[in-house]
Formats: sequence, structure tokens, C-alpha cells
Amino acid sequence: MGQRLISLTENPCKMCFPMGVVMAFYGLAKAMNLLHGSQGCGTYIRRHMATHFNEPIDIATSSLSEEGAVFGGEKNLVKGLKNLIKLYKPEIIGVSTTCLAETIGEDLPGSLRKFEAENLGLGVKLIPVNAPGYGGTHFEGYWHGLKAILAGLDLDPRPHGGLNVIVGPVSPADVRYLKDLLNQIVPNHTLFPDISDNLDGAFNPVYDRLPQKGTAVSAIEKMAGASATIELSLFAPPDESPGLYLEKNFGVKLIKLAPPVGLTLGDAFFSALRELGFAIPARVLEERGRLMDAMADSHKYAALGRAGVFGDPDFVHSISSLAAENGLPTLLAATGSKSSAFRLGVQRDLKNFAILPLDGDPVAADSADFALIEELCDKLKVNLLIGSSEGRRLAQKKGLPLVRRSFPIHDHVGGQRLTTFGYAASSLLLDQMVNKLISADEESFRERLKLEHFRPADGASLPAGRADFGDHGNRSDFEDQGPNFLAPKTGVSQVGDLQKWIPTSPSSTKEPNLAPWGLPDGAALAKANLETIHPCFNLEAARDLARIHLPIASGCNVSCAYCRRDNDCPNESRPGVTSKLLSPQKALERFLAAKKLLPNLKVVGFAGPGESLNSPGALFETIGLIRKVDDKTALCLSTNGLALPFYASELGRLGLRHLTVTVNAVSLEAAKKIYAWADYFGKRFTGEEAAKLILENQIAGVKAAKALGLKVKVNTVLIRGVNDHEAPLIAKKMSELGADLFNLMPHLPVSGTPLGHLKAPDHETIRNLRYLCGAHLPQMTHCQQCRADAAGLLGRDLAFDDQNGLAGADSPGELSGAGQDELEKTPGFFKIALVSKGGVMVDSHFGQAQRVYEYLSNGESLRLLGIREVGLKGGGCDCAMKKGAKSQDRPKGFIEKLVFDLRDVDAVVALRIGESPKELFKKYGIKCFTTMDSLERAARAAAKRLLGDQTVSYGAQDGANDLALA
Amino acid sequence: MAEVKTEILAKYKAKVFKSRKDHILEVDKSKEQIIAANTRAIPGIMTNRGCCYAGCKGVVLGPLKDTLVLTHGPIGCGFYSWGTRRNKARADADGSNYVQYCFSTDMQEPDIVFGGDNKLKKAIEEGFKLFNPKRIMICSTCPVGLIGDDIHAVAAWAESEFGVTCVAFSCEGYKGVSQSAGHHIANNGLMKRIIGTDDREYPAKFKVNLLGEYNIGGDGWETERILKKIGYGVVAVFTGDGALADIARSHKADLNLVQCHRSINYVAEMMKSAFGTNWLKVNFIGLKSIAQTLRNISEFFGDNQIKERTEAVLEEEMAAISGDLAHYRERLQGHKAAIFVGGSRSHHYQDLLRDYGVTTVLAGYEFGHRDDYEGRRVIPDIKEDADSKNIENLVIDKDLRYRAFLSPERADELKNAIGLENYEGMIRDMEDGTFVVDDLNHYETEAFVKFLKPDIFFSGIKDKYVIQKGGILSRQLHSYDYSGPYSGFKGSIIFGQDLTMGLYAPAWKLVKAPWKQKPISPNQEGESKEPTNSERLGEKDHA
Repeated sequence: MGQRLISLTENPCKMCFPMGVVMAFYGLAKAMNLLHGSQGCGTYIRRHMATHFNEPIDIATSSLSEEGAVFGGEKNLVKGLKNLIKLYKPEIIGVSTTCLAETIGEDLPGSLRKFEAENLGLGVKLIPVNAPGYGGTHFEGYWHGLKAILAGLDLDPRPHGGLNVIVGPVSPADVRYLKDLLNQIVPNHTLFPDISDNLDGAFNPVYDRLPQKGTAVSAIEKMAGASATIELSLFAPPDESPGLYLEKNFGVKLIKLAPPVGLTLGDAFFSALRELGFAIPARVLEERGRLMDAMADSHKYAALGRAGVFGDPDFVHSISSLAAENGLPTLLAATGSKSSAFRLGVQRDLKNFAILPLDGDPVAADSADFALIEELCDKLKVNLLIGSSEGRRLAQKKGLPLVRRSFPIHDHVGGQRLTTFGYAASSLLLDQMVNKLISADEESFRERLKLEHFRPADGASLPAGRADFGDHGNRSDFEDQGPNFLAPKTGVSQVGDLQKWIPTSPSSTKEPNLAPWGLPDGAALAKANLETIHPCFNLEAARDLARIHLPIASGCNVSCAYCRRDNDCPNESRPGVTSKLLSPQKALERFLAAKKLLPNLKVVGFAGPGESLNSPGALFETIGLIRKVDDKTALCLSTNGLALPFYASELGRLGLRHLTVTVNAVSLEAAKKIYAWADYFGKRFTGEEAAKLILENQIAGVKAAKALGLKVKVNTVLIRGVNDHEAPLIAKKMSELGADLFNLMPHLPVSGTPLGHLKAPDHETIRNLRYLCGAHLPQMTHCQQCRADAAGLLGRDLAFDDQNGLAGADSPGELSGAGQDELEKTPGFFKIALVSKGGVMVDSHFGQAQRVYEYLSNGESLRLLGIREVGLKGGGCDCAMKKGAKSQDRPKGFIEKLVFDLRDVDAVVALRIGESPKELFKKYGIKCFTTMDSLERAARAAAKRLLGDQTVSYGAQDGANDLALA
Repeated sequence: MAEVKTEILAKYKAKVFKSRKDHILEVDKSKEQIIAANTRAIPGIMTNRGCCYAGCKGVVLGPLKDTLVLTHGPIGCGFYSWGTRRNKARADADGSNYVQYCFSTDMQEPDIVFGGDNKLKKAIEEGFKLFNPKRIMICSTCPVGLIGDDIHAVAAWAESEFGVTCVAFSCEGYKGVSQSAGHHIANNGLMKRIIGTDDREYPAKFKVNLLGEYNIGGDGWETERILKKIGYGVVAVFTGDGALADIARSHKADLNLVQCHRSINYVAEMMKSAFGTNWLKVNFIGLKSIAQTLRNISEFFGDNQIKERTEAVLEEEMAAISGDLAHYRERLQGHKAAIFVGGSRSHHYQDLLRDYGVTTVLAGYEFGHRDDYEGRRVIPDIKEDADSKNIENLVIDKDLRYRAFLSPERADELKNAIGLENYEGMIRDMEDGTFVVDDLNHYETEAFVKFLKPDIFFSGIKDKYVIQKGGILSRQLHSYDYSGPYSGFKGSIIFGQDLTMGLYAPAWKLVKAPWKQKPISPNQEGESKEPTNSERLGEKDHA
């Protein structure tokens, strides 16, 4: 588990100690509670109990004010008691302290003794309870209250052979179940406490202020004379256990049992009663049979579940047991109470419960808040929650079904009627849990089927602008999803649906490296390293690792107001532009050619010029072709996200690890300005509908991609006055969805587009916004806004000609039109060879050359002709040598061969060059220069020097180094 | 009806009788009537009041969406004030919305013994790392003030350490006599630290703030809709769906509209002193009140165009609901209501009930002051007691940015014409012979129900079940029983619909089992002597 909060509780999963005490007293007949402290405690607890139990809750308070806090609260306590006794005439009062009374050090037992002495004959029993809010949770408070009741009464130890049944803080309906059962089979028993009527009374126009039902004080006094106690709690703290108190002080045998939920725990309970000599009614056996039958009905589905149960320790434990009996594993058992018994005991049980191998070890957590529960739900892939209504926020946020049980239920009516005890109630609960799983599965199975089985056949390239599966005869299968799916007008519910099914569908949680081709060499390209090989995701990688974009996607399913696609333009360097479109076969050829030329090629990407996922047939076919010959080069895709929810799973399966989604807006207002229309399932949406659709699918798509573990970069085209104000919001939203990197790209106004008249955002704006966006996501600052057919290093792209392979350059001062051969013959153009390791600078000794970059330049224009991988380490140079590299390490004839290979260049530039290669080059009439400068500048400078310009010296102005003739 | 009061009080012990008798009065407008209010609750008689923390964190600060509100104390207080008031909020411009969260330091025994400062610091640090909030508000609970944790020093530390705005509120539960003290403390903190810290102009011609609107069930949204439709710019809402970022420049507004007088009048008064911002008591609950309120606002700005627009909007909105209004009015008129809610709603809802022909026979505030009952003119006469003295009364000097929107003559004129900077209190609007009860307790609730036999009882959750188990319709006016909004034109109709739904639910006619209703022989147990309200309702329906 990740970094845990230690001092901050975020969304608590527990209530305060006095809450539990008050509940304990509510199970007594003619009892009232008085909280000694600030009146807010009473009010808050009344409010929370009333909302859950749907009953009036009366808790008196001593209403301490500042005066009482300073001078002591006894005066108020006495007043409060007197008024309470006069108005309500209770037989017993639980007088509890609170944070306030405890902190100011009130002597509660002393005050009560004094009060009793001064008011003899009141006929009311006062039970002092020390209940600081910081003394534990409501769970401990409850047991503390029960024990205080026993300790505060004069118990009668005369044996009468009866049975005590002590019940934990459970629902009134559960207590009523026990009560009916015991009334039927155990003639002499005390059920302690009994909230069944006081907290779930019948409709009654005559309201009795004093709770009349519940365990009578006289019955409690007799508990010390019983022959045995069944305490239905495994996790009541031993110090506070009323059963243990009776055993220790009065020798009443204690039988500790878990609450009777499900078969195992129910059986234990009834067996215990049987052993004590009570006859189990036939009805119970029938109910058990029905539970068994319920299990037979639902066992086929239960194993789909990965339950997360939260609440009081006994509740969580017993529910996990019920679930496990039918093969529904509980992955997370969490309680807000601090209990190592729970943590260790339940952890062990959860493992023992599992009948199938679990994906991940189950976790039992104590002292949990909902921040931890959420974190663990994610980690353990929980798909079903069982607990109180306080889990609703988590359920909503994560799209998880929540079965409501335990206390408090604040968002539904009838919390007091929910039940878990006994075989019959267990059947209903089990059905509810399993039905949630069936619903979730039923609602998503069409999508899963589609993703798994109806993707386009390899090689089937479909006409653009249509959803691909339309031609496979299964389209009607999706049409009956209704307008919810095909014409997403009610946006919210649709996103909800998409989000629900994508991350949870088993197919999408499959590890992508199970793809038929697998990931390269298993661990060779270990996931950890993936980040570093992609030049867009990693600045370091951008220096010397190359990528190629294969322009296979023609049409687009979205019309963006800033975009104009050009499929036949060799000149412009911007996204959406390619010299020509390639068929999958041609794309493969280009890939292979590039691979030959670019030994540092690590990534093959699909970035237009249209929308890659708009021609999924071509895309998947190309990927398939590439994977047949190469399983090492990483795959990457750039998309507008519209169709992403539908293909994310497939992309993951194909081994794609990097994804770029262009998200230009999160608000409808901005989106409307950017997107004119969207083609979706054969229908064109416009205006707000289109905007909504695009935004929703981008969100669902990114979510889906992240659920698959893809690295996701988000591109945002920053358009002046259109979305510049919402860039940080986009970053924030994407960060919430789990995106990894954010790339704010300045809008490049293209004439002829609706936004072509706008000015590009200035550098300052971009920088400031990147700073703001940086609060949410790491920023990519080295984006070159590449063409759809870019190849090579970022910013130093090569251009391809399919006949000749490498054909032209796409960098400043490019030479368009002229072929290589022609140029070579052009006077004034020189071929310069530069030695570089990183591809950025002339940074190597000639003798240690690993790569040689060949440029053509006339001192102004520049074109990269190619990169020669020399590939051998070691020194060849007789000047300063790299430490540890000895000249005898070099292969024989290395220098000679290298010089020979470079014999057709006009000049060689290196950081340093030894005497022997210099001599050899001299023989070919090749000049050698030394410098430490960028490749481009050095190449231009060398060309100028060859042109006879001796004054080339730009070092002083722009920080570069002079070029020296070696 | 005077005997009602006598009979109810008869049950009390002498001391209680003495203190309670001044909190109950039968309205007689021919006389100057004084009611006792904002005094300590009597221990042991089941007051409905909450504490200072509830007023500060629960009411005023809780609805702020751009602020991490951290409760410093044991877990209960934070938990119990988590999402229980149904303050709705949309995420704000930078996407943050803390309204769904509960943050607490969950103090344990060692923190009480050795001091909780360090845990508070660490909690802030963790909260900052996790959420990166721009603003943090710390609210203290009972033990904090007693053990002497210096939350204000911690707040100062947090500001310098993290560059956030961090304000601490010493709102320990035992301060004051009710939530009301907490309102005041929260108001002071906002005035001292937030209001006036952002001087950007608000781009609107007629600028107002909405004060004391907590957006329960979306009330504030409906109110804002109307104001914006007419053409007002709403600079800030205190504090429903509110943001401290907006409140920081609330002094740029020309007029403060005060909806809940009790909880926010301090801010209105302090802003008048510091910035010269005029304030006007408004009521967006009830159709006649809304019309009056809107006309008063347009009168304040004195602009003919906005006056015309006001009339046009009134006409349009009323036309849109007139059918529904008549439908529900027909079903509701003639019923009797009792209202017992916090500080101002008991007054506001009488106006809406009047629109439906429902008379209010009993009204009371849980934590109102005398001015909420009798009007602001009694403020100089209210004696300070030990409890009110403990709450800091800020002395506000004129700010350099003070500007008077109205000429002194015009201001005087408007005081009379639209009641500028005044509130006349609830009693003035009630009928002779009806009852006003301050800090109604459980026993009195039952007794009054018995004597006055209201058909509908508006209250909070704590009284709700006593009422509805008695066969009387109960509507919660704190949280609207998951319904709302009730404000504005649209809300009025939802209100009418909710009441009709409740009063005419078929189940009320099935209360008695048939075999119990018609005794087979005269000797058998049968009909109870007194018909219940539900049965009376049934009769009315048949008639």
C-alpha cells in the first residue's frame, strides 16, 4: 500500500465513543441517556441515529458552556439530571462524559454519588460511563457501555440456570430475529441489550417519550446468576467484554461466537444452543435448507466477485464468511476500529476462505479511513462493496455497486430494517450481493464480447468514417443497446456506462503482455524501461533514440477547427501533414527501411495524418505486419480519443504501451468552438452533441487505457482565446484519470482553417500555462509537433522516399525538390561527416566514434543524409583516450576501415582526432575539423570553411565553440 | 388560547418554569411584546440546539467548495458534520470541490495529554501534499481550547510553510449558547482574513452578494438563476456553493442581499462599516416575498431598465408556474402549520405557506436572537451576558476602499422605502393568537401539537419522527428530506408538490387495521377516544 496518511483522517469510517455508549443504553427498558458536556454532542448523535433508525432519538445533555468548562460542570449536570428525571421518569440513566467533561477532569462517579445521596428515593439508577470521544470508536464505546451497565447495577448472583445472550451493535431487525428465536426455544433467557423495539417501533400516534421496550433492569440484574453467556462478538475488546466480566466476577460460563451470518457461523450458533440442551425448531432447518438452495442458485456467479467489506469488526468478519461460503472472495476487509485481533485474525481467515487462487493477497485493515479503503479497492481490484452508506461516495466515484448494511444508512430509508442474522436473512443478503455482480456483468457483456471477438479481421481495411464492426454482421447486436449507445444524447449516463464497463471488464484487465507476440524478449524490454525508450515520454531518450511515424490513417472522424490534413505535402512541418499515405504493406516497407537506416529506432508510431482509430483495419493490419518481423520496436499511437473506448483493449492486447490522446477541452463551451462535428457509429453529430460525445469518450478512453496500464500522454493544442483558460483544468482532469504526461502544444494557425486567422499563442503564455499545468501532470517541453510521416530523432527528422528510402530532410533550411544525387553534384554543397554519440552535439573522439552523421550543406542549407552506425566501442585514437580503453582493444584496422568508409565526404568533424586518422584522411583530400558544437551548426561551419570562409567564428555570439582545423 | 401556555408550563419545576415562560408568547400586536432568546439551554430538557462548532464548521464554512476544512479534534465532530446539511456544490473553475470530503485530525488520548499541535501540523502537511489546496480552514472542537493547542500559530506556520491561506477558527463546542456563536466566529474570520483580499473588479453593472444562502437542496442555484436573469451580477455567495476566491472580492459588490439574517448579519454589518456596502434583508422563499424582494433590489439600484426587467421577469416566471400553483393551492389551503427551525427559516416559510393558504399557528427559532423575533431596533436593548461576551465583537474601521453607493439623502429615503439595513423580525408578520416559542424542546413540541393540532409540522430530523409517528405530516426544513430546492419560483412549486404528496398519501387512511376500527361487540376494544390528525385528514378528503 502506498504512502499512508498518518495524522490526517480523510473521510472517516468510524464514529465516536459516546455514540456507542448511547446505543447500548437504547437497548434497555425505561432508560435515558445524558451526555455530560457540550450540547452539540447530543445533537449530533441524535441526528445521526434518527436518520438511520427513522425513530425519535432523545439524548439529554448537561449543555456545558464556557463557564462550565472553566469552573466545572457539576451544577449543570445536577440540573440536567433533575429535569430529565422529572420530565421523563426513567428507571435508569446512562450518564456519560464526553471529550469536554473528560478533558476538564470531571469526577463523574463522585458527582453521581453525591447526587444520589442528596436526592434519596428518586427510584432511578444512575450509571456513570467514562466516554471521552477520543477513547476509541463507537464500536468500543458500545461494549464499554454494556460493561458499565453490568458494573453499575447490583447484580444478583443467585443461580437460576438461565442463558444470557449478548449482542453487538447490530440492526434492530437482527435483534428481533434473536428475540423471536430465544422466546421460542430458550425459556429462561436474557437478551442484552434489546434495541428491537426502541429503535424500530411501530407506527403509534401516542408517542412514548420513554422507551418502554428493551431489556429490563431486573432482567439484567439476574444475568450474574445465569449458567452461561453467549456473546455474539469475536472482536469486543477483552477489557470491555460484558461476557468476560460476568465470567470473571460471577463464574458465568462464556461462549464467544461470531454473529450468526451464513452457514458456518449460523451452524456454530445453533450447535451451541443445541449443546446447551435447547431444541432447534424445524423451521430453522428449513431456513438452512433454503440458504443452501440459495447458494446452489448463486454459486455459479459468486466467484466473479471481489468483495470489499467495511464497518465494525464483527460485521466485516461475518459478511466475509458468508460470501466465502459461496465462493465470493473478500479481498478487502476494513474496519475503522483499532484492532490487531481483527487485522491478524481476519487476514488469516480471508486467505483460508479462498477456494480459488486469488489474484493478489486479501487484506484486512484496521484503523482504516475511506482514503485507505479506496486505495486498497483499487489495488485489490474490488468490484463489490458491502457496508454502510458512508461508502456511497467511494461507490459513486469508482462506479462500484454497494450493498448497504450496518450503521449508518443515511441515504436510504429503512436502515433499521436491514438484516443479516439467521439463514433466511443470509439468503437474501447473498442474493443481493450476487445480483449486483450479475447486473454488472450483464450490463457489460456485449461490450466485452465485441472487444474480444468482433474486432476486424486482420488486414480488413474498412472505409473511413464508419465503425469497423458494421461489416461483420454483428452490428445489430449493438443496435439493441438502444439510443443510449448509438445516439448518446444523455451524456452523463452514457459516460457512466462506458466508465463502468471498460475498466472492470475482465478482458481489459488482462495483462497486455499476453498478446500473441508478447513483449520483446519477455523482460528484455522490461516495463520499467519502457518509459525511457520513447523519445516523447523521455527527454533523455529524445537525444539519441529515434522514432518513425507511419502515415496510414487518412480520414478523420472529428473536425477540429485548427486542422487541415494534407496527404501530399512534403514541405510543412506540422501535425496532419504527410507526403503520401501508405498502405499497410508500404508502411511495413518504410518501417523496415527506416530500421535499416536508423539503428536507434525504438518506437513506431501512428500519428495521422487522419485519425488512426478511424481506419482500425489498416492500423491493426499494419501492426500485425510489423509484429511478424519485429517484436522489439515499441508501438505508439496518437488519437483524438473518440473511438478510443472501443479499441483500447485491443491496442493493449497488441502490445501497445504508449498512447497520445489529443484533448483540447474539458468544457462544452470550449469544445463547441473547436469541434465542428464528429462521426460516430455511422452518424454525424454536430454542435453541442458532438462536443459532448467527444469529451465523454476521451475521458472514457483515457480511463480505459490507464486501466490497461498504458502510458498516456495528453496533447492539448493551445488556442488563443479558445481554450487557453482551461488548459490547467484539462491537465487536472487528465491527471485524475491517471494520465502520465501533458503536452501543451501551441496552436499553429493554418490558413484555410476556421481558426487560421488567430495568432499563435506566445511563448510566455505557453510557459506560464505549463507551470500551472505542472501542478497536475509532468510537462513535455520538447515536443516538435511532428508530421505524420516523421522519422528519426525528434526535431531532426529524415524524410522518406519510397523508391530511395531516405530522401530528404525536414529541418530548418531544408532543400525541397532536389534529389540527393543532384545535390551532391551541385557546386558549393559539401558532404560533412560528424562524429556524435548523442545525436545532438559533436561529442566524440574520432577514434571512439559510435555513430557518424552525414550532412550535406552549403554553409546555409542543411540536409541530413544518413546516420552511420559504427557501433564499436574502444579507442582508436593515439591522443587522449577514454579511461580504461586501451588501444589494443580496438579491432585491428578499425580506423582504417572507418576512414575508408568515409572517403567520399568532404570534411570530418570530431571532438578530437588522432594523428593517424588525420593522416589517412589527408590522403583522400578530406579536411578534419575539431569542435564541440551542435551537429547542425558544426556542419554549416565546416561547409563555410570549405568554401574558404576563414572568418567563421560564431562562438562568441551564441555560445558555440569555434571550429578549428585539426 | 392563553390557557395553552399556562398548561404547558405547569408541568415544569419552579426554576424551569421561571426561565421558560419568557421564551413562549402568544402574539398580540397591540402590545409591545418581548421574548427571551439566545439564552442558555436548560440542561436535561432535550434542547434541539447544536454547538458552536456546528455553527462555524457545519453551517458557515462547511459549504465552501474551494477550501480544505480540517476539524482539529476527536473523530466524532468531523464525522457528524460530514455531508449532513445537503449543501450542494459544483466544482469551481480550478476543479476543486471539497464539499464531499471530511478531514479530521482524529485526536487520540496521547494528543489530549501531550497536546495536538504537532498532529495538526502533520495533518496539514499531509493534506497539502495530497490535495494541494489553496486554502485551509482549521476548526477546533471542545478539547482543543481546553488543552491549549495554539491553532492560530499553526495556521500562521502553514501559511509561511506552504504559501496557502490558512485561517483558524476557535469554535470549541462549549462557546456561546448554541450554533449562533459559531456563526459569529466564522463571520469574524471571513471578515478579518478573506473579504477584501482580491481587488479585481467584477464585470457587471449591478453587482450583489448573496449572504446567508447555504444552497440546501439547490436553493441558491434557483435564487441566482433569477438574479442573473434580471441582469444582476452575483459576486459571491456566502456560502452555499461558495468559494473563498469569490468572497475575497465580495467588497466589489454594491449591495449585500441578506437571506439568513441570523447566521450572516455580522458580515453584512461589518462590510457596511468597512467598505460602505449597503445591505438589504431579502426573502427568496415565497412568491410574494420574492416579488417584494426583487422590486426592493431594483429600487436600490434605481435604474429604470432594471426595474422594467424585474417586472418582465416576475410576469414571465409567475405565468410559468400559475397552473401548478393553483393546483396545489386548492389542495393545501385551510391547513395549519407549525414551524420550528434554526434561525431565519421559521420566518421565511410562513410567507410561502401563506401563498398556499396555509396558516402558521406556531413558529419558533432554535437559536434566534431577540432581533430575529422583534426586529433590529431591539439590538441596543439586548443585554450582554457572559456567553455573548465571550464571542469577539470586531471593531471595524473604515477601509481605504470605502465607497458609498448612495447619497446620504437617498440612503435615508431607502431606509424607509425598502427597509435598507433593517430587519423587522418574525413576530410582525404573524397573526394575533398564534404562538412564538424560542428554543422549543421535546416536551413542548408534543404539548403544542396536542393543543394546536397543526396538520404539518416543519422541523429538523430530531423532531421529525415524533411528529410523523403521530400521524402528522413532517417536512424537514434543514435538509428538505432529500428534496428541494424550495426557493424561487420553481422551488415554490416543488414545495407545494411535496406537501400535497405528503398530506394526501393514501397510507394515512389505512392507519387502523379494519378489525380494530369496527368493534364487533360494544365490549371489545375499538376506536381510540381522540381522532388522530391523519383521520381528520381522511375526513376532510371525503368531505
